Amino acid sequence: MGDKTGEKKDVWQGTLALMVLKTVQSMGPLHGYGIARRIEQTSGDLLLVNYGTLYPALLKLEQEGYISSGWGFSDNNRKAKYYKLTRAGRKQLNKEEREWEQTTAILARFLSPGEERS
Amino acid sequence: MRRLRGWFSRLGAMFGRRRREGELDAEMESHLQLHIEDNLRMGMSPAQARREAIMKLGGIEQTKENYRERRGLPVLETLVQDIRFGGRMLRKNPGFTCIAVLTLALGIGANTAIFSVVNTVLLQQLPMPEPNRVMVIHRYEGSSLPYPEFLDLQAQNQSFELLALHRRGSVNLTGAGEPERVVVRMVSPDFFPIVGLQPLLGRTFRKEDDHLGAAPVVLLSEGLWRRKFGADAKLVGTSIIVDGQACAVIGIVPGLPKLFAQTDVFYPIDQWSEPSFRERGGGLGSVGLARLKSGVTLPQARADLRRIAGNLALAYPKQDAELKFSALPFRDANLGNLQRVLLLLFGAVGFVLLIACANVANLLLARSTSRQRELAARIALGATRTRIVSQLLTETLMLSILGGGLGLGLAVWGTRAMVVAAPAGMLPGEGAAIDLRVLLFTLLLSVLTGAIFGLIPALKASRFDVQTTLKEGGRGGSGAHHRAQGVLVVSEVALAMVLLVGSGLLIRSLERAWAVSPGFDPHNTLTFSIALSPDKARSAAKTREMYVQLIDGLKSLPGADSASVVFGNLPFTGDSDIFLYREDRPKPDKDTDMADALWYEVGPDYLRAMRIALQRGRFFSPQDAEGAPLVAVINDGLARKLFPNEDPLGKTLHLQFFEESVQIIGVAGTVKHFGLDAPPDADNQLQLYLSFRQTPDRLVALLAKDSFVVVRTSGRQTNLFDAVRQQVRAVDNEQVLYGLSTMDQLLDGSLAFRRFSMLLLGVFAALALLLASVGIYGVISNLVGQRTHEIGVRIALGAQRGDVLRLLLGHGVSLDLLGVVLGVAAALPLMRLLGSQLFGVTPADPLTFGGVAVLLTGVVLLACYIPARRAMRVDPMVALRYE
Repeated sequence: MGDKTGEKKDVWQGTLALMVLKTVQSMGPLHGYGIARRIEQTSGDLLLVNYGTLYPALLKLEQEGYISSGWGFSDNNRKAKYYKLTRAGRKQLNKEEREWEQTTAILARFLSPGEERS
Repeated sequence: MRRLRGWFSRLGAMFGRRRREGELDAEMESHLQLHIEDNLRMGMSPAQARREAIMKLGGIEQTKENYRERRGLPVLETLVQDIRFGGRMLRKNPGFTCIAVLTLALGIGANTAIFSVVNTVLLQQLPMPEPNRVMVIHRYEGSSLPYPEFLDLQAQNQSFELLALHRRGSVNLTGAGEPERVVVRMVSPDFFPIVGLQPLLGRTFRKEDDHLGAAPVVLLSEGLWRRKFGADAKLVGTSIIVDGQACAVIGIVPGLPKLFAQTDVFYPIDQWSEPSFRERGGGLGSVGLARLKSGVTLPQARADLRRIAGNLALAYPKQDAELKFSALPFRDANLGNLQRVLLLLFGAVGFVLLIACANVANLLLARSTSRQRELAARIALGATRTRIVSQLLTETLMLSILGGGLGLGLAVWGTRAMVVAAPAGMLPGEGAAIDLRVLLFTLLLSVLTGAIFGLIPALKASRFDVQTTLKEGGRGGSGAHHRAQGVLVVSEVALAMVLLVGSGLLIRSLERAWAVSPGFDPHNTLTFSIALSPDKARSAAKTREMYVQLIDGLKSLPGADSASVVFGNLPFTGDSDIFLYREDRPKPDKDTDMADALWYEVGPDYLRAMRIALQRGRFFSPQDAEGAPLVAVINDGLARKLFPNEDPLGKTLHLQFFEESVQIIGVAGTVKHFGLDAPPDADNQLQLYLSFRQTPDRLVALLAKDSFVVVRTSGRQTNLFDAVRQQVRAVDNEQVLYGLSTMDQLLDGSLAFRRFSMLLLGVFAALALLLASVGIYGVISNLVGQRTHEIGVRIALGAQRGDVLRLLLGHGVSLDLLGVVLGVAAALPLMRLLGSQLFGVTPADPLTFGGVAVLLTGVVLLACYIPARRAMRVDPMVALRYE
């Protein structure tokens, strides 16, 4: 990832964090592979070219205390690292959801045809 | 808030890195496995499943790298990494590291130690208010200022805010424990404000205290107060007995800067009952001290003094004709020679620092050439210039810090060593403390040198032709590098040359001084001072008798050969002089036209005790006692001056001060009274001996206050010390004996200062030599390393080992010779600055210059030979394959 895609990376990283939190909330504790797969599915296969990009993001969320990790076993008895939402994470998720909705609403007003004055 | 938590987390992640690394690997591995299982379930073949999973995961290394970056603090981590790498590099080249660190440490340590001591000596001497405005006032160039003239100065001057008179002496302290001889300073009341002394208890003298007949009062120094009276606060108001007189203690004053520090007791100067003190034209060792009025300059003050001297010359033509006063800044009057020597040492230290920095620079340059290959490889592998620069910088800084740390230790030790080795009285009681400013300065300088020369390879790295460097194997040390190294080495040699010549000259001076005959035999002679208990009732006759008794008693001790009392001066101590003239010629109008001789009042055994040569006539005998015709013995200098072509025996001299006429009965050899290294000035060496039993009655009490005794022994003197003390006590229980030592020690002491500065400069010169030779060794060694390949080729092509040796040695010698020539050119003018430090040698002494040049070249040759020998042993087959 060179400098040219840096900007894009930042934007996606911000939304990626939100997506991770939402995934973990709705799916419950999940390992890295599962989260990646789920995000891919939910976004209609438009995102996450490389699954590897997820891990730094997971680390950041964990460092900030929004998710916590622990080792566990998958269905096939495969050892994997599971992530789950913390209380702080839940609060952050709610907050960001609200903010996104607000943003979308405001933008919608600008972008959709409506009462125009001119 | 969350971000802070993030930062903390990252900081914490610096530890336990390996564990986390392992965790990440495990997680990545499990991710792959989960993905592969899914793929298998979807129906792919195992190989396909794996491949797809890996591709979807993306670049593992990149992920890991991003992960790592997020997890820790990259800046800190790279720093730690750099430090570890730097440490490894330094450990891998122990020779280089050791030399560089030692060089830095020596430069920093030596500098700081010297600066600290110099600072202490030069600056801390004068903790008085406005020290630059304090002047010392003498009559003529350095003679004592008589009391009546002092009063006139006080009345008539317009340039001084305060003017005081002070004089040092010693008194007996009795009635409180052991009778003790202590140092007294008689002062006029203004002494205390000039010097800035505030009493700890009580008060200082006032005008009312300072006149003859006032109630006797004294001030004690804090040192004496603590030592003898246990810091008893109730002492103030009581009286103690000073020279038999009860004096009231009116205050305690703190210890003074070094120059006045030894004073135990202060006494008002005008209370001194000695009659000759108030004679116009007298003196008795008093010195004036003054503080300039603000706005008055030294030239103005001197003009004022000239005016007053003129007035007095007119008013008192007999005593004060040709009167002159001299005013010297306090600092110059008391430090003078010392200052010059210390400044010289400043210079020496600067040289050594330069050499040290040049060495370090050289080392770094040499290393940079050998590391070109390494740097090229790193660039090829993708290192950014910033990384390389920061890593090299870290390495050099580590070197500087190591050197600095060691240098600090060296500075502490060196300062202490200097304090111990310094001649007594040069440094104040508390010794010298490290001067932090200088430490920081030298540290900064070393770090800067390190940084600049350490970075050179990095800065060149960006302009590398990486390919060529890798191919050539890093042998292409640029010509500029070698030239720079050559320049540095030549300057090192030149600097070392200057220092070595300087120290060589000083060594020869000391050697010459030692070779001078003192005019007497100082071996096996012990000497001490004695003060009879002051007993006003004792007559002059009784005093003389006591001395005779003492000398007889001393002579009878086993092991004692001869003994004599000495009033006046003892060689190496004192400078009492009197004016005299020939009675058979008209008396000169002015005192200054008369001969001015040192005088010694001694017993008949004096010449024998001191083994001074008797050239003509005879010395004193027991018959030359009170009532007999007054006699004198002069030295050959006085004989030459007053009786150039005649026989002095039988002629009469008139003595001022003694106010008597004496007949010359003998001529003795000259004694080097002012030390072996005193300049051979004819006027210094006029000496007169008188028989102590013929001392005028009125002067006996005064002279007996500070008398000496010399005893020649036939064996080890120290065994006699106790016996001597007993003898003294047997004559008078209340006598005080002090200053017991041997003449050898006094002689030693007179040269102590010269020896100290020689030692100091010698140490620096040796240091410079060591550093310079190490520098050359490094350069040649490096050269050999660089040219191993070329040497192999030469040998393979038929060159003899000897030719190779000559090639390398030749290079070293040419550098050395250039340095020596430059050094000589620099040294010739600089050595003149040594001035009075030189004795018996000229500043351009060819023997010293030549000897030092040979020594330096010899050492340099040795330093070149060692690596050259290595080159000779090069196996051409190995060298040709050597990359």
